Amino acid sequence: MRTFSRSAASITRLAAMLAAIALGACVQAPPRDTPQPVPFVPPVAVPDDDGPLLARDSEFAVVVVQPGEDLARLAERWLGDRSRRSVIAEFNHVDEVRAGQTVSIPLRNRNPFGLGTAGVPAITILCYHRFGSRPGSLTVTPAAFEAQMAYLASHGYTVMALDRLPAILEGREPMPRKAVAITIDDGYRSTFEVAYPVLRKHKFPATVFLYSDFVGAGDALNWSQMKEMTASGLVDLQPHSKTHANLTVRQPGESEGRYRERVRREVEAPVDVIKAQLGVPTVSFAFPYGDVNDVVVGELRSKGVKLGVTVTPGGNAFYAPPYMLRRTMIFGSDDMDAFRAKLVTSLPIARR
Amino acid sequence: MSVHRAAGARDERLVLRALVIAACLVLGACAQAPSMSEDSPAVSTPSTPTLTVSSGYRNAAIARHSRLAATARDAGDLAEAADHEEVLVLLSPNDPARKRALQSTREAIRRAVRTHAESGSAARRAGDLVSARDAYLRVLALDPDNADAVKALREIDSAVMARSQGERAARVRVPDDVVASAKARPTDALDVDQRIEILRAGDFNAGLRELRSWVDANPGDRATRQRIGAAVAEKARELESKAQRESALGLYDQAGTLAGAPTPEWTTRAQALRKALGEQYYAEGMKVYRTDLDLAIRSFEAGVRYDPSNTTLQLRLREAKLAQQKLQKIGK
Repeated sequence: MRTFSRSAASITRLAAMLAAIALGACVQAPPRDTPQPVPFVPPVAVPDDDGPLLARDSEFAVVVVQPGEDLARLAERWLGDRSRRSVIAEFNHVDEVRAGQTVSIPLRNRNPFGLGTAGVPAITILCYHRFGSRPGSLTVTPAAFEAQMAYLASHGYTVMALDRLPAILEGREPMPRKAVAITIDDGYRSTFEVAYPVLRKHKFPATVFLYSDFVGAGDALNWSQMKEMTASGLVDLQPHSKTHANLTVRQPGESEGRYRERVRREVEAPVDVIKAQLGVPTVSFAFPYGDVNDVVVGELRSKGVKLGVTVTPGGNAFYAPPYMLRRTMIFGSDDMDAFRAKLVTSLPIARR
Repeated sequence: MSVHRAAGARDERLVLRALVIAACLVLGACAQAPSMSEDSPAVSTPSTPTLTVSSGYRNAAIARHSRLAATARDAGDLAEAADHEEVLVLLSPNDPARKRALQSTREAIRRAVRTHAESGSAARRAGDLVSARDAYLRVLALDPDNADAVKALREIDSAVMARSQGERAARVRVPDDVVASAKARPTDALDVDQRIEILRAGDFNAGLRELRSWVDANPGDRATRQRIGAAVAEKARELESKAQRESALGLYDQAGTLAGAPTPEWTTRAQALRKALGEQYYAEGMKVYRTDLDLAIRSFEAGVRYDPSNTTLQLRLREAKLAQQKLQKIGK
């Protein structure tokens, strides 16, 4: 009996060793850095023809949904990203899946620009200036700002940092659904006192465009406030010129050379001071009054700036010009209907 | 005997359990790893049983995609129809009818792409950028990998924005009489608002410079000039309430210049400030009259500059200067 028991124990150990060897083989089989989705393995009792993986090529996989699987898990398994569940949902015209249902998974992005019957996905870049209890054309009340941010949060908008936009415009990343970016111009103190706490509450990123000569004026942000906001990782400080002069307008009697030199200073000074004070790289530039010309764009390129924002309202699709991006001003007089109307996250395509 | 049998049965169970454990470990590991090539649509490798599958899944999938392809075709969405037909070919690789349907849809897509691209190109030549944009978007809806359409869309949107920028720049530079007769656009008002906000925020240099620059470019826009003047005067009142009289007076003067002419209220307030400043400097001069004659003279001079009609100030200034001359003579 003992002998048999010992041999049983030996067999158990042997089985465990075999399992370990087999495991090792399985682990080594797939290259670690291959971004291929992990395919589903059919159950033991199922014949090849009718298994959960019904068919597959480089474009599609057709699978049978297993118990406990939902769209997010399928997206994670096959597309490597749970958030891409909408790709499977849209292709199959379903909101969710159930066990035993057949589902086709597009393995390659069939619609990289997100074109649909609703139109072209676009991002609205919102432009705020000042916040205060007395609303003005460019002054939004704290209550209105809070309501606007709450609306974005509760209606499925993707509030994204502006510095993600270069990758989208270069076609390296898809445009998120219902995309919005928040920008605040000039560098008013109320950005810190009013807007920042609301942004933090909703975890919304925002870009503050500072004209550097403003620092030190009565109602301007100070560097300590800017440092605190930047350190949060939510707020990005970017240049908005040195003096807020219109960069496309020449001064009376100004020669071409002097004009170019002035534009150079207007771009360079805020870029340098923001970098020195905050250690922040420059990605974008807001043109004073939204006006830009080739001289200004040339200067931005030479400083490595990738985006320029105007104040021409509207949404930006994937084909928007990076140095002439549309930006929509939000006014103190905007009620919620007006605010909603300004959120252009899809550009219509006219029917033939 | 029965003990022996019981022990044997226990050992058998142990062995069986060990083998099951080993099998499960192997299966579990393999289920996690990609174990098949893209060419093999299904594998016979066993795995943890999770669903008892009956036949008919393939048929269900075929029925679903046939329906989706037909719906897409009916809606005129050829690209989506082609996608579903592609799945149908994948599910029924030996069905020639499926292949023909897919080829036919792809040919229809090619024709439509050609038509839209030509229409986009024609619209561009005619300067109709909106129609051109829509045409190229239709190309992309049918053929998402069409690089020419992407390039054209980028160029078109750049041209649209450049045109918009050009119009703004032209408005800044047109002669006064044209601007005066032109209907103000919302963007013009916003330009002014931004300049006013800068002033309100306390950057007087930039605010006044930018407002002057706007007025210089639009001297005939009287309504906006009055709005600018009012904003500057409002800031002046704020400074006045904080006893910053000199700054307030400077802004009242600027308000009048920027508006084209001061309002009676600004004139009255400016006059009152001049008088108050005259009296303030008189009082300051008198305080130091016996101890620091030079400072007293400077104060009286400042007071006279603000309020030349203040005869008491003028008298004191004359007296102070005479006293200074006497002292200088004594000193020599």
